[in-house]
Amino acid sequence: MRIRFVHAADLHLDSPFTGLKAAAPENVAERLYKATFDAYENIIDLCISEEVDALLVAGDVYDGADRSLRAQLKFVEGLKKLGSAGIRSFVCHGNHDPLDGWQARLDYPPSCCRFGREWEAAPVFEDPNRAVVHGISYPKRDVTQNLAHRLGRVDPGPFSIGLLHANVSNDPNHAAYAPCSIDDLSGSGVDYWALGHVHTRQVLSEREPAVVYPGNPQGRHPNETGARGVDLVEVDDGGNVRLKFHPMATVQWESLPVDITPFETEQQLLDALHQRMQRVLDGADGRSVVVRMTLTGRGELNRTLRRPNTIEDLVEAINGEWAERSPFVWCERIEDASASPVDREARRKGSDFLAEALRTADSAKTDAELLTRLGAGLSDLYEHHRFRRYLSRFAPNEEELAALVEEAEAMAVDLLAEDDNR
Amino acid sequence: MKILSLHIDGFGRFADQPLGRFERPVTVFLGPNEAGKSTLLEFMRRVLFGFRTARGRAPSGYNDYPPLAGGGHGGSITIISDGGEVVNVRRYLGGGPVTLSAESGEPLPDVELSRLLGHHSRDVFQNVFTFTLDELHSQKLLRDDSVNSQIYSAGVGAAKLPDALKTLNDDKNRLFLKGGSKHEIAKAANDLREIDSTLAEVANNAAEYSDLTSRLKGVEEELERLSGLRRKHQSELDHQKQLENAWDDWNDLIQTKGQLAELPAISDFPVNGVGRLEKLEDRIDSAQREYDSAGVDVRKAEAEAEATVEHEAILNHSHDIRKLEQGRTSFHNSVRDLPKRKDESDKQKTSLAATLKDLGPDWDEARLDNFDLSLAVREDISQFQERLQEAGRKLGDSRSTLTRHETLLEESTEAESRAKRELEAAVKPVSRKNGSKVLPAICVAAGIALLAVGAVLGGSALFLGIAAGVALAAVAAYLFASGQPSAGADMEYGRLSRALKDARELARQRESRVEKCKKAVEEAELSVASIQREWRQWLGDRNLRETFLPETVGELRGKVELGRNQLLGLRSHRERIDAIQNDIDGYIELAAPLASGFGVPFDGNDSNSVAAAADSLVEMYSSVERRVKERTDAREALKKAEHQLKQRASDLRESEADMKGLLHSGGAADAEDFRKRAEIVRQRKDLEEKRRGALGRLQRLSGPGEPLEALKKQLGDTDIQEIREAKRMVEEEIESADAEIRNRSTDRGSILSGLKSLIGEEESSKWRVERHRLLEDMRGHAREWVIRTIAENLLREAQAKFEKERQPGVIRHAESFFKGITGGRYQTLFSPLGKSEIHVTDSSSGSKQPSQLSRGTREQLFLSLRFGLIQELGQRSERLPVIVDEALVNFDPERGLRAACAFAELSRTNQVLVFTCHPTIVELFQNAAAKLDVQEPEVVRIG
Repeated sequence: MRIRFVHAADLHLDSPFTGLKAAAPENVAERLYKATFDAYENIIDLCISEEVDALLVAGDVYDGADRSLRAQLKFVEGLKKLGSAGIRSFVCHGNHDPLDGWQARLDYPPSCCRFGREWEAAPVFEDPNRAVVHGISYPKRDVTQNLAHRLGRVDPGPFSIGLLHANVSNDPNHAAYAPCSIDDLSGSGVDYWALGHVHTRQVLSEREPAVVYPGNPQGRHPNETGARGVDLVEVDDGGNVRLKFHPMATVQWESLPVDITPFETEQQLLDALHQRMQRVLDGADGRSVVVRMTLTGRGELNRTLRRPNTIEDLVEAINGEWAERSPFVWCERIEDASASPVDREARRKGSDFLAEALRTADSAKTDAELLTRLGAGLSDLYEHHRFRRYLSRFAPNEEELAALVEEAEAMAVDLLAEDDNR
Repeated sequence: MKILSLHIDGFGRFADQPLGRFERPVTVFLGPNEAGKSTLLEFMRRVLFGFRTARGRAPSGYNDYPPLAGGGHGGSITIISDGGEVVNVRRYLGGGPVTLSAESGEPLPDVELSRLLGHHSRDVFQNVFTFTLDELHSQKLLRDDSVNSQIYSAGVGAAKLPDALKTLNDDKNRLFLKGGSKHEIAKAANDLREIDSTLAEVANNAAEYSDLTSRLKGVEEELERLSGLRRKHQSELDHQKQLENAWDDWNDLIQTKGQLAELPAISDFPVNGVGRLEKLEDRIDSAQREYDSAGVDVRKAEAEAEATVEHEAILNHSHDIRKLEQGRTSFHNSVRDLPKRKDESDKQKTSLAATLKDLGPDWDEARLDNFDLSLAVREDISQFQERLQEAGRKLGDSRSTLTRHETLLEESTEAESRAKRELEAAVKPVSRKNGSKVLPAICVAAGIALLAVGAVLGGSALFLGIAAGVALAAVAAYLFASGQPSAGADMEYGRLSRALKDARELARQRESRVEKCKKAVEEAELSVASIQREWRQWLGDRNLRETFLPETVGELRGKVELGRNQLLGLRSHRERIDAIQNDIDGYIELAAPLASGFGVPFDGNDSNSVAAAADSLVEMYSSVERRVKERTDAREALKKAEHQLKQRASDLRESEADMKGLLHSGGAADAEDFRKRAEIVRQRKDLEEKRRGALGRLQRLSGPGEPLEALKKQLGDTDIQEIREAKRMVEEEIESADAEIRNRSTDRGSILSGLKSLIGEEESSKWRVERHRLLEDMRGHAREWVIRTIAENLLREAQAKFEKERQPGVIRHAESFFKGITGGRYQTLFSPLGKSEIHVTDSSSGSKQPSQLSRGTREQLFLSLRFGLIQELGQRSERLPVIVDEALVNFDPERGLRAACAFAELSRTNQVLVFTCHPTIVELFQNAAAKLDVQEPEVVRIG
């Protein structure tokens, strides 16, 4: 065996969970606050129990903007623990923890190699011909150069690992930091590219070179669903790479769409939601789960759901059953994207006012002036001197406005059509 | 649909009244007031749409129009539909359902009246198609739901628009209100600002971390230095404390050394010498005291052993003294009882004398003793008593029998005599006659006497008396009858002879019996006399008087028995008295010589004196006996005391020898010297112990060997003041170092706690999560607000367009009529979307509501609305006739004409029936028809 190491990235230690709407119950909140640390501890434990040679962290260890001393201290503490166990660590910094960002003056253990603003090569073992890690950190947040390209050709002797925080192939879901292509990576002669930045695990190339995003070890957002963790990489003497994914997260996110169409009563819906929660728990492999449910479809139940507090009551009923367990399943919110059982197409052909309203909404899709009129007054909120610091970023653009018109139309239809079916 | 003709069977003032056919588009019914125009209008409404049933509540002022002129209450209307069907509609109040038939009279079961009436309700027909002046003026039209929905936007999906807009607005204001401060977004923003400020503080903390770390290092180095200094001072302080602690012992060591040098050395002094000396002294004292005590005991015993006892000789009379003692109580009792016994004896003696006197002079104690009181004597007395009584009773019986038989004999003798005389009289009637009268009389007298005797005697005697009396009476009667002269004298004689014979026979028998009785009496008397002789003999044998009856002797015997008992008691007492006296005498005899012998006073005649002497003697004896025993015991004790005295003398000598030995061993001449020497020995010992203790403690402070010597040297080189001064100075140094250490420690604690709070800033994680949650919340609210704003905009946009482009047809038609009727004074009619309101637009002053119009104009507006409705409704269903009652009277001539023109115009599509009492109205319609070139109205005159 040439080398065994754990490849982790995007720890985002002490970075808060975002997108949570409801205040979590105490037991859940406790777990959420600690979740990134718990995942990191799991990584440290994995390294020690697997007796790996090294831990590689490909940037975004913490969010510098949060200035969490705790995050940095815990990080160093974990590295020291590894050092005590004879495990080396290699760290590069990314856009969230660039070198010019806030950092506490901490003593990193000698077993840790932190890469600087330029490419450096660090041997993993005493024998420099066995394995070398090439790494580079972001000197600042916004690195738009192709850092991979700057590496050039590496020494082909030892097994070489490239440690980099970068957006390969311009992943549109992530900011285009240190953009590069697979070809850039392939041309460097590096045997294993240990990448960070993309939060969902991706193996861009399995061999020659292996190009891997392990993803973040703890999902922190409703969109970061499913199991998350690190890759345990084994390289045999022939230089063959074998990857094994190890889930590290203690809490996992799930997004559940639930179609309300089949249900006639709130109780039927609730029963179905309980069943879904059970399924989520069964599939979480012993981890706790934060669930976001989205009610979809069209049905009479939509009217019930629109009554004040109905959704909140459903959330409470579900959480009353599931959130206090261990492991828990906590429903963070239920989004109601369901619609009333109005046959829109039929209605818009009518001659009544509702049809007029529907036609007006339709016109807004093509009539920019009308769309602007429909969005009149929104700046009152988004440009309000007290709230713009929180909201201005979220002011809807034209596309979003069009989508909002659809929701507004649904609301208007509901309000107007109520009597029809009563 | 048009109305072709009517047939009023009975309705109000009409009966069997046909009207029509109405062929023209407009028909004007002209008639004066009371002609029945309104009745006709109502007739048409009711036949077509039905009478109000009893169940339906009639509106106030509702007129039934009862058939005042006769006929069935109702009638028929012939109509023609827009499609050309001619149908006769027949309806009667209470006459069952409406019937439809063809003009030919053929029923039309498949035709639906509702269809022919355009599916309009009665209310729509009444409010829209038929109206009176009053109804035209009323706003009831606008309040009718079915009409209302036609006029306004109801049914075009806008009914909820105002509510929807209000809901949206309310929701928006709750979420965000420009200028407001209590909406959700403002609340979230406030919370966010607080959290941001907290997080800013947390961020500052992190900046402090490095500063704190370097400060910590400096403080810890300073602490290390101070700790070293303090340890040095502490060591010096410990040394000075050692010297201070050693000082007293060092002093002791020096002093004891000097004191020991001053005391002489005494070797081999007995261990615990003084204790032993004191014990020996105690022993000698004790032995001396015991020796002296033994001497006293010997002397006392000697005196007691030689004591003399007075009256010691009394011990030789122990037997007598014991008898005196034993008899003492008996003597006392005897002396006490003797007089009582004598008294009792005297009383018994008196009783005996009385008994003897009772028995008789010849009775004394000797005869009492000798009198036989045995059971045999008592038996004898009893037998004699019984025998005498038996013999006496027999004698009495015999005598009584004799007497009775003697009486019977006398009677028989008398009867014989009488029979004899009667016979004789029969032989000699005269004599017999006389005699015959006497005999019966005797018989009667005897009978009475017998009866009386029987009564007196009673029992069987009475019975016998009665029998005898009867017999005598019978005899007397016979005798008297037989005395009567009889025809048969011979027969009489025979009878008399037989009677005499019988009498004689009876007398013989009775004589014999008397004899026998006499003999029995004699025998009884002999028997009695014999027993009495025996009794007398028995008395004589016992020397008792012969006259005594057995009962008397029995009584006597009792008395004798009493006397005998008294005698025996007396004798017993006498013996007891004698015995008591003997006892007393014997006791005195026993006591007397002893009393005189031992000088005890004694008077033999005085029992008290005797008793006292006896007591003294007994006591004297006891006393002498005790004293003699004491003397014997004393002699024994003397022997023992003498032995004890010898023993004590020996003990004393032994103790004195031991004392001498002790003094010698202590090198002392006497006890005092011994004690002095012992004190010196003790002092030396104490000093040496003290010295050893001080040395030991010093050694413990320093350690043995050289350190001890060094300590001793240091102590020797200094003094306590110097030591204390040095100690005080070092303590001050330490105190100062401690204060410094405390300060630095405090610094370090605060740095550490600062670092700890920085490191453990878990709260900040929570705040960050909370910040994100609030942001999410705020964005959610913003989004909700945006959706509502857009929804509101959307609805308003649609509303504007709808109001502009799609006013209800009714309004549009009405607008046209209204504009025409008012000659263009009012240009537009307008109903805001979702509101049940009509606005009219004046060409000059803008929008007005109906209530703001004049009465005439308002009537024109409502007329126009009806026209609009009629047009609108007519587009979708049957066009019903328009029936109007004096609708135009409030209109000015111009508007009246224009209104009539409007009717004429309307009559192109709907049949128009006009009721009026004004000929001018007829003219108006005629002019209008001419003006519009339509068929001239048909005028129907009624009344």
